[in-house]
Amino acid sequence: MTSDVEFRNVSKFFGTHAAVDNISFSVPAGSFFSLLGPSGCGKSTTLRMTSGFEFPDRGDILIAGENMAGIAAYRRPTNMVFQRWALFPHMTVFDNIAFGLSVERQPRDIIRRRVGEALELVGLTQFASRKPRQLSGGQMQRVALARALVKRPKVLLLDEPLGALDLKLRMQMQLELKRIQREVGTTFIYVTHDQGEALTMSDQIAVMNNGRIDQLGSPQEIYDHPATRFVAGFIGNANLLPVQLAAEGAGRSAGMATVSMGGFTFPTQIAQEPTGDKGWIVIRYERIRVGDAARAMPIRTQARVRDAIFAGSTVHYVMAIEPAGTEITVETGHDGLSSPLMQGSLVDIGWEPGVTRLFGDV
Amino acid sequence: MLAPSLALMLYAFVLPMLTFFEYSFYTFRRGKLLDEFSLTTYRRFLFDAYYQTIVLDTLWMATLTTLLALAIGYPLAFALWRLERPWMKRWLSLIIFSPIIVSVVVRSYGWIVLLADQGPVNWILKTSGLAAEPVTLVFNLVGVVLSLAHVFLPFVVFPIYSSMSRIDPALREAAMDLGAGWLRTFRSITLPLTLPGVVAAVQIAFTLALGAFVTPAMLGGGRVLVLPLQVYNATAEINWPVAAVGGLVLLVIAIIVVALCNRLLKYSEA
Ligand SMILES: Nc1ncnc2c1ncn2[C@@H]1O[C@H](COP(=O)(O)OP(=O)(O)OP(=O)(O)O)[C@@H](O)[C@H]1O
Ligand SMILES: [Mg+2]
Repeated sequence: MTSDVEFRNVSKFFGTHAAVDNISFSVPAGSFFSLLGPSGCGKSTTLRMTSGFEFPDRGDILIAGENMAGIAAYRRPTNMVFQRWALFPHMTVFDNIAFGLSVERQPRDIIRRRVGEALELVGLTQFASRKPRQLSGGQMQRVALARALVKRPKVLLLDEPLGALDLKLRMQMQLELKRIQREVGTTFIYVTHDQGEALTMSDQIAVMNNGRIDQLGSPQEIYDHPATRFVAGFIGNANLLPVQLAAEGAGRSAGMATVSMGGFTFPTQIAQEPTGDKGWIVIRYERIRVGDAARAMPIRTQARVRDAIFAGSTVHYVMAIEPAGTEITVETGHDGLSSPLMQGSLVDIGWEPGVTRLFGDV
Repeated sequence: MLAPSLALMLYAFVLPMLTFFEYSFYTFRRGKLLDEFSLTTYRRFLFDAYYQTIVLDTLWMATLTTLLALAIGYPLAFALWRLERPWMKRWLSLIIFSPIIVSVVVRSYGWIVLLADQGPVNWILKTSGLAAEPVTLVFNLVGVVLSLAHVFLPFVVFPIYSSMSRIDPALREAAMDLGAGWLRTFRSITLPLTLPGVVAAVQIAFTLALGAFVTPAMLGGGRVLVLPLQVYNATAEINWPVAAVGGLVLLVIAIIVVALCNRLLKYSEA
């Protein structure tokens, strides 16, 4: 597979602070690639270096095999959908979308045809003569998308394009973006801090932390096999629990180790070899079984219910593992028939050995 | 809150205007003001070549001043907007502000010295070989326009600057991202979006130039006869009708210009 965008050991400094710290990745042509991470981790900077608004201090950026060093934004085969859309307020929807083509000095009838197609793609044909301020957030978002796509870029860059929309609309636009991406077959690089969004839409996700890429993989890989404690905690709902490692070599076999947590000893998968005898295990809320289901699990113990948080289709229980009292959160489905567990009651909890992952104490 | 200011407006603005209006219909004959209704003064302003020239000269001076102030002010506003370092911004805005800090009389003398036949400007023109003879820059329209444009700089720069700083920086990036170079971005994005500032600047500069009195009097050297000077001369001779009609003509021109500008503004926003 050819790659449309490639970063080779790219760093970018603002003053002495490394906003992007020696990152490398390559984005396969036609794929949906997400940069995911918390605020300030360098996602936008990475995207802006791709579009040519910022230049790397170190390393190389290649687009379609060509080195972009010294190539200005307006000469790159990329187009961007901005966070707050940045529509030209004094132009109609049509003129906004046509802008990139008229800069290229395309003939008038070609402009009209391609803008028409773009409007149709985003379902805004009847809004062509409106001004941006007469549109809703979702419609402005679509105009921004059409304006970038009409140039037929090799790579479309999107910087949290759904960040300013409400939840319902965001979900709807996620599906629509995905549909459009399939339809046009353009490579999308999508910046978001919303892990749900990244998981639903992406072919590949790069999880960023402090200017570095902690993990790069498919959504499922990242969800099921987080490479670092940060990734494990950032993606999905996970418990991060301190554990003591069993004596050197004891209970070790093919990627498994034995750990104990206040007297409760169990085997776990190793994700990252701890240096000392202390470590952390990560276990997702929804992987923990409660009650009857727990009794069938190879690893089980008892916990006291401290708190129940009702969230519609699911219920979150905060529990204290007996006897040490380590706090753990458990997610169970809510079927609408059975009543939630009583606060203060003692229940069985359990899980499969493969669902916990051990990380070092760093 | 509203009543006192309305009363003040009525007493200090509306009443004098009405008195003024009344005087414009008086008759002035052989150095005497007569309480006789006539439209003679209006007729003279409309058809007499002498008064027509004054009105046209006034318009011409105000237009030139506005254009020059814009030509210097727009790039200055742009520079002020693009400057990255705060201390440079502070100094530049101080320089732009300086003409209105200095008294008009002092500033005018400064320009007279600068533009005189033996002044530094002519010296530079001569030694650089650009002009063999001294160029007359003062006691004519050139000096008046230069000096007025100088004072009006802050009134031109700051409205434009404020409309520039309201532009979302992402818009310029979006334009460049879509393939527009610097010039195209300026023409299609920055300029149209700063038009409201330009229009405000034109309104202010033009109306101020229409009413300018001291500068044309000092730097015009008697050769630049604009309406405010004519009004002043008329009051000195107690020729109230000419003073009144002159004042009214100034007012009407100002109103027309402001209205035209507002029209333009609406058009640019539609
Ligand atoms: N122009 C700049 N000058 C100085 N520092 C900057 C600049 N742009 C970004 N930074 C810094 O670089 C770091 C990364 O910024 P970046 O905008 O890439 O973060 P981000 O991941 O997009 O965050 P967010 O989700 O909040 O948008 C931040 O610490 C930020 O303060
Ligand atoms: Mg960002």
